[in-house]
Amino acid sequence: VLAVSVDPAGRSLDLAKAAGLSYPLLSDPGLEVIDAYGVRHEDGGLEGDIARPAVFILDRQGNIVWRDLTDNWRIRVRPERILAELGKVP
Amino acid sequence: VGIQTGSGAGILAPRRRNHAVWVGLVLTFLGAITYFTYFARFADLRDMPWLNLAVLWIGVMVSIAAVWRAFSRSSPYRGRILGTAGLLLSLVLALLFNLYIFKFSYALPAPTAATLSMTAAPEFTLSDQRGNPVALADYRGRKVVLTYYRGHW
Repeated sequence: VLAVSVDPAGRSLDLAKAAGLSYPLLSDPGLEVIDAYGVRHEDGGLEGDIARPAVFILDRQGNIVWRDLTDNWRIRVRPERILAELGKVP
Repeated sequence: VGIQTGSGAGILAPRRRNHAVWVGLVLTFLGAITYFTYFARFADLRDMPWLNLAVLWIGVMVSIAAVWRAFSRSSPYRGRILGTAGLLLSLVLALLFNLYIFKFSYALPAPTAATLSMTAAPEFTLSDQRGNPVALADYRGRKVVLTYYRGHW
C-alpha cells in the first residue's frame, strides 16, 4: 500500500502514529505525481490544491487494473472491496 | 371541604417553562455534531447518515412544537422569543448539515478521461513520512494499492 497526499512528512508522521499506519505516506507538495494521475482537486483544501480521494490497484507489472474515483469525498471505497479486487489480480 | 383555587390558566398566572425550546435545539445540535465526532467512523452511517438525519429533523420538529405551544391561544407556556430564536437556529443547523451531506461533499472535479482509461501507472519517487525516498518501481513484481487522499487530517 502506498498513500499520497500534499501533506508534509511531519503531518504524515503524526497521522501514521495516530492511526497506526505502517505503510508509506508519501508527500507530493508540488502535486507533480498527483497531476500525473490526474487527481488534482483545485482549491479543495483550506491551503489550496489537494488530491481528490482515489484508489488505484496495480498489477505486478505496474499496470493499473482497477480504480475508484469517488464522486463524494465522504464516501470512500470499502476495504473489503479493495481486498476483493486485489484477489482478482494474478 | 376544599378551597376552590383558580384554574391556573388565568392571565396573571405564571406561565410554565417551555422545555421543548431546549430539547429541540439540543437534539438538532447533537444530530449534526455527532456525525463528525462519532458516527462518521462507521462506513454505513457515514455514507448514508440516516440516524443523524433522523435526530436532526426530530429536533427541528420539537423546536416547531415549542414555538407552536408558546404562541397558541391562552398558552400556559413561555418561550415566545427564545423559542423563535431556537427554531431559527435549529433550521439553520439542519439546512447546513443537509447541504453538507447532499451537496457540498459532492463538490469534486469530474475525473479526467486519461485518469479513467490509463493503463501504465506513471512512475514516481516521493519521500515518505520519515523522509525516505520511495519509488513505485521498487514495487515491480508485487501488487500495489496506490491511494490518494486529501490530507490535513
